[in-house]
Amino acid sequence: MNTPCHAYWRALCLLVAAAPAAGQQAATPPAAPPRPAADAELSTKAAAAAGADRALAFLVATQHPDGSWGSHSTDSLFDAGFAVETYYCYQVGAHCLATLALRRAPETPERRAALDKAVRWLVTTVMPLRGSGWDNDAVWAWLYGTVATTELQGDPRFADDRWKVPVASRGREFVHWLERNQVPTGGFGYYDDPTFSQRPKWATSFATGAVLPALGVALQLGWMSDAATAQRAVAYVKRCRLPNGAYEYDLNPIPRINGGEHINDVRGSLGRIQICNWALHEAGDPDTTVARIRTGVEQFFAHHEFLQVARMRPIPHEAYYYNAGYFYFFGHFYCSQAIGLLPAAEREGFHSQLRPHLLRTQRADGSFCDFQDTSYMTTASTAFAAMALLAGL
Amino acid sequence: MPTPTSSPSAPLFPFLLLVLLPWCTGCASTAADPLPPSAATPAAGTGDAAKAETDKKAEEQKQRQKDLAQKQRDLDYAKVAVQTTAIDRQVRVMTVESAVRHAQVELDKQKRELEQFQQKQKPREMEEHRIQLDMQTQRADEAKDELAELESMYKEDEFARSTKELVIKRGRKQLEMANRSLAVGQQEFEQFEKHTLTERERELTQKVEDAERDLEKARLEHQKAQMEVDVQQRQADDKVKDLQRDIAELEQKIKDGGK
Repeated sequence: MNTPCHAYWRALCLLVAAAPAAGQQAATPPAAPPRPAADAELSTKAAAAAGADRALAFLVATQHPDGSWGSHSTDSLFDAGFAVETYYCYQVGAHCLATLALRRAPETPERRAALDKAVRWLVTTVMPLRGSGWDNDAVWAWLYGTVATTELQGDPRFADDRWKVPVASRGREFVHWLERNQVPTGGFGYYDDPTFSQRPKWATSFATGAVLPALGVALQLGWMSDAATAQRAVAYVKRCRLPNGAYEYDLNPIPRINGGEHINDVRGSLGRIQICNWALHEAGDPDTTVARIRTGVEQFFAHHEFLQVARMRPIPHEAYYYNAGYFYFFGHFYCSQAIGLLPAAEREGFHSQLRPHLLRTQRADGSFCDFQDTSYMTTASTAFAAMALLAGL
Repeated sequence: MPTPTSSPSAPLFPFLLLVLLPWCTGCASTAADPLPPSAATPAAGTGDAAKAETDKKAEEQKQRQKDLAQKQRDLDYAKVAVQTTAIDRQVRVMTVESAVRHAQVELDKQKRELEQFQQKQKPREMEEHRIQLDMQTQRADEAKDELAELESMYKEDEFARSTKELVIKRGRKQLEMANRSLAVGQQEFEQFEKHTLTERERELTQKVEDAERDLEKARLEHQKAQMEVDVQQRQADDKVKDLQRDIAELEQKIKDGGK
């Protein structure tokens, strides 16, 4: 972790360690320790723009010459145990997010060059595939690959055939793999239950929600072989919705809340509420009204401490209400997208609440991370945070 | 506890008697014999008869002295026996009283065990087993509902038919397992209620009855022991009195025989 608060404590420790023994040297009053910026300073558009610039600069600076980011192997023993292929799948998924962040950012020559390299790598790299019977984390690459390629298709900078054909070709591949892996109830998930089958049987609301709007675009682009894929996915996410506004982690034929801490409580569903409301609204669901989206955003800020306390915890779901560290920037990004669906007059009020939660966690090199400090999580977190900050500008 | 037999002088006493008695009886004989035999015979005919009479008397006196010594030894032994009998009596009374107390404690314990079982343990264990059975019933009910819900969801379109069949197959198997588990649970509950608990209650009741019998036996043993030790004490006391009387008579005879 490298929050301003931790930087303060680290500086203080160094100061104490470097202090000469008593009597050796005349004591000089220590310099005032750096104080974390107040929320008011961090809630402004200017602070957001500066934070986004630093985050994007980190992405530009850390991009490999071939256009990729990070590692395709596990970076942490905490993250060991998945199929070998999975770490490459994470790299591709994180790459898609970094590509999206650069695409959405105001263009500079450095960013444009990085974006071009990133798109080139995305359309030429080996297609990630399922790593084992139970581990199908390739779905993350296919989900964000679909989101990235559908967005690139609409970007005039990539409209000429030099880009359009390979992007469309790669986009069709991502959609093809998603279609083959859509579970019978319509969702998308990254693990499977025994008996392991070519088409898996387990899905999650948030993984499915991540691709809902992009599936609509893919359908318009003619990349889908089955027009019902998107409808089924929408139905899946909607079935996960609970009466209190939360969304189930995964669809249960008969939902249950056991009365204690449960991941399907609102406090365990803060990120899912944002992405699912945003996705259903974008997919044209009439029940996902502005009032519902507003309530979800208010719930996000009312219970934000449950995300905050989970950030950087190395064990998945170890925090209250089974929140995991990696819910943090995912949740904040989709909160920014949900805010974007509210009436214009309301948006800045919510963005100004969101920004300090992001900027307080930005590290000295401009990056962000919420889980295990692996290269793929750092790339993904930084991209999510940059896009969340850009959304309010 | 010191006893007469454990006194250091007690074993010496009979021995000293044995050593000293011949000397004493010798002295007595000498004292009772006023003249030497040669000087006591006035004439040959009457002299022999008188001598025989005198010898006989002397012999009888000597025998009485021996009997007296024996009786005195017996009296000493009898006095010791009175004391050991008293100790035996005390030990035996303590033993049977302790047996009665233990039997009473055991009976109280068994009564409490039975009461605890009937009032607390039996209802609680019944409730635990009932909850388990209710959970198995609920699980079977949920498996049935979930299968119905899955089938209903899957009916909506023809998508992913073969994968759906895997899920449905799993749901059917879960329902079957839940129903089989419930059937076993019902049998187990019935056995627990009608056999296991009944048998445990019967065993505990039996233990109470056994303890009651043991207490009654201990009380009877106590009574019997009390009577027996009373008789033994009386016998020991009577023996001392008899010996004292015998000794007095013998002493009187010896005294009379000496005249």
